[in-house]
Amino acid sequence: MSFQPGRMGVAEGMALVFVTTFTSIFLTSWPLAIDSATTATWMLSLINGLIGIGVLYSQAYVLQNTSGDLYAACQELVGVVVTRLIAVYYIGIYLLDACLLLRQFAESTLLTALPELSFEIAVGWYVFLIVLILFIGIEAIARASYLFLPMAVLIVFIVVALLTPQYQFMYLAPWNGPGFPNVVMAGIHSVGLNMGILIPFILARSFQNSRTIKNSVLYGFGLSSFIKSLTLAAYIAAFGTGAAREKVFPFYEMARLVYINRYIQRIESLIIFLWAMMGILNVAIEIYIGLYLLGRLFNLPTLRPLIIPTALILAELAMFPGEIGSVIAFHHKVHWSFYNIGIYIIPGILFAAALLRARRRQSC
Amino acid sequence: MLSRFIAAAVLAALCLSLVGCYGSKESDSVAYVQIIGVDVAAGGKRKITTQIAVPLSTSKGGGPPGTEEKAGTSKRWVFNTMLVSAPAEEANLLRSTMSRSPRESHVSVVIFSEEIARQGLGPDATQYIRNRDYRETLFMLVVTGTAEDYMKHNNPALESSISKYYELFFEKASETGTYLPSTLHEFYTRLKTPGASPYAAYTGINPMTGIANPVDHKQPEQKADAYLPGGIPRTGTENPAEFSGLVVFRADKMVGVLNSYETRAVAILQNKLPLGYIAVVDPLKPEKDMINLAIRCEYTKITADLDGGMPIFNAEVKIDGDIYGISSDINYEAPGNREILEQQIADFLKGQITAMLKHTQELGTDPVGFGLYLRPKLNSTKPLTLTSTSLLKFAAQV
Repeated sequence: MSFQPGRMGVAEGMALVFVTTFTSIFLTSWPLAIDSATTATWMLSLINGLIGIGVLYSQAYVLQNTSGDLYAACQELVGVVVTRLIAVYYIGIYLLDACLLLRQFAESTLLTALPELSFEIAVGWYVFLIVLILFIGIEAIARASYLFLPMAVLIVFIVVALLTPQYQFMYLAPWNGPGFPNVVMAGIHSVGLNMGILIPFILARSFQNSRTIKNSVLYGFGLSSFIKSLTLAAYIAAFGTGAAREKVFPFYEMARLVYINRYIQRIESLIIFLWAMMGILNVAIEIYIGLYLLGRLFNLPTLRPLIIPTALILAELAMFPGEIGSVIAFHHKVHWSFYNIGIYIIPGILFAAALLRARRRQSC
Repeated sequence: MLSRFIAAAVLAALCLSLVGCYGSKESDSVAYVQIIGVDVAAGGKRKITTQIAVPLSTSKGGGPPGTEEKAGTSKRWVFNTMLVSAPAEEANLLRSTMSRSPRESHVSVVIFSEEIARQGLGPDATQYIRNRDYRETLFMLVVTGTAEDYMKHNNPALESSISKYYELFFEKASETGTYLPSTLHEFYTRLKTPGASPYAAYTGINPMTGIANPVDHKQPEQKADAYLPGGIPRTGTENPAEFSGLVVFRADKMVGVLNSYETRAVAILQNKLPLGYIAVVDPLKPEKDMINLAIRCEYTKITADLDGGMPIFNAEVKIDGDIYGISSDINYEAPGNREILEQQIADFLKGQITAMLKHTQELGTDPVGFGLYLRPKLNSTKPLTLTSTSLLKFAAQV
């Protein structure tokens, strides 16, 4: 099929995972997480990272003991019907996430950069750019993400460093937040924010080999988890939990808080392009994954005819909710619940099935 | 080729929908609000004064478009005072009184009157925190008297921009420690996060009569006087506005003021005094002689512990001094005398710090942020929500 080129390496895979797991730092997910983990919210990202490594090795094992990608592995291990149900779930998850992100990024553009732009035009521009890069293909998106990755990391580090005069590190104490068991539980619940770690397994046929996939997730998610954790620690040290939980765009607020002297301040306009580009790339990648699975589900020869209708439907759905507050609350709720099925239960079932099959083969 | 040309043309046409093509405002159509003053008015209303920059041409060649018409005039800013029921209403009314569109994103200082500070600044501070037109980094002051009077009398001759005046003032706060910079961000963060009490810089207008109005209590080692705004004995033609002391809050309500020396004690304990000047009584000739010194706070180390529920703090301060002048001609750099002088300075600073702590404990406030050092001692954030550590009674050793 034309959408399975098979030429992506570690760099592309790493960028795909990084972009799709890091973008949450620009949105309200993390300020909302402060209610659960308070001063230890920065640990959630690290706990997510550890769980993600577990998911990585379990799915790597699944791929090693089957042939092809996650879809093919499902067919081998749990049968065609269950595979279709799993595919429908992942299609739903990725397209839902793309839709919710589209709404939030369009809204944040209005609130922070272009208050006089009409909402429909903001959504329209995002969709236009997303469709444009979707037509170029996932390889191009992955390579563009990889080129953009060092710049994104550098900008995050610059903002974190420039905020140094504002830090009160005692705001990070008590170090274990509401108690370590509660933080671990919150970390377990919040893994759904990182659905991007499954992308290399879903697109496995587009990667060079299984080691490439493993390294992509390991480096991409490791880097993303570490930088998210660092940024969240900086965020709490700068605002304290009381004020930090009230913010809508944490990274934007961090950039707004930079004040070194009369000459080095008001830098936030320079970093708006960072989250706008990350948002566009993230939504494009998620739509691609949704369409890719749709292609696999219906055995389609190409995805291109689906790009524009899907993007338009998602744009309409993104504009459907009356206000952004309910979108943010809904997104947070599904991150911490519905998305976890795709991180824990489905990979868990596949791992157990692969393990069982391998043992049966050994005993035969 | 034709399709690419059409695509490029469509893309270019689509760009017209972007706000930059039709929604931008030229600099000659906006008015930059620089300072906002908030006073109490009758009936629970607010009297809000805005100080707006008048565009001036800075050279004969002309400045940006729209600045030429005011070139040569001496008016650097204008004031607009309005009675409003709510701060948000002020933004509406301001637009009804000016030809230009006011831009609040350049506001650098918010000034509150003492009266409104005593009523509580929480609701007003929230307005400036949540509204994205303003920045959390803007400075926050409390004035003796009304903010409106203060703003109208504050007329710095050395600065062409009132924003620059305040920014420079707070940049050099670390050179004396007798006043501290205070931002809306720090105020709000302290208000929302247990561990430290909010504070704000204290400012006022000096009557310029040359009559001293010092704070009455003085330590035995102390040679110079401590002041509050308006009390510094001075005359001259420079701006009558002055900064001295600190306004302290319990939650969002102002509960008292610290004088210039108490403020310096706060600065020392917060590690925010890289440089300062002191005059102490000559320990060997205390009748009329004195020693002038420059001091540098090398470090302050605060440790906290809980002893049966009672927080105990230990503050270790290392000060480095440089003798500027000795009126008695005694060689205090010689061994034997040096220790006497060091003890005199240590007693002087310890006395000031202890007096400040006693005062703030009486007021039930913690501007230093001792409570922050207690946070690592807690097992979880639950005790933080039950009681604010900043309001606990504590014992301190300096």
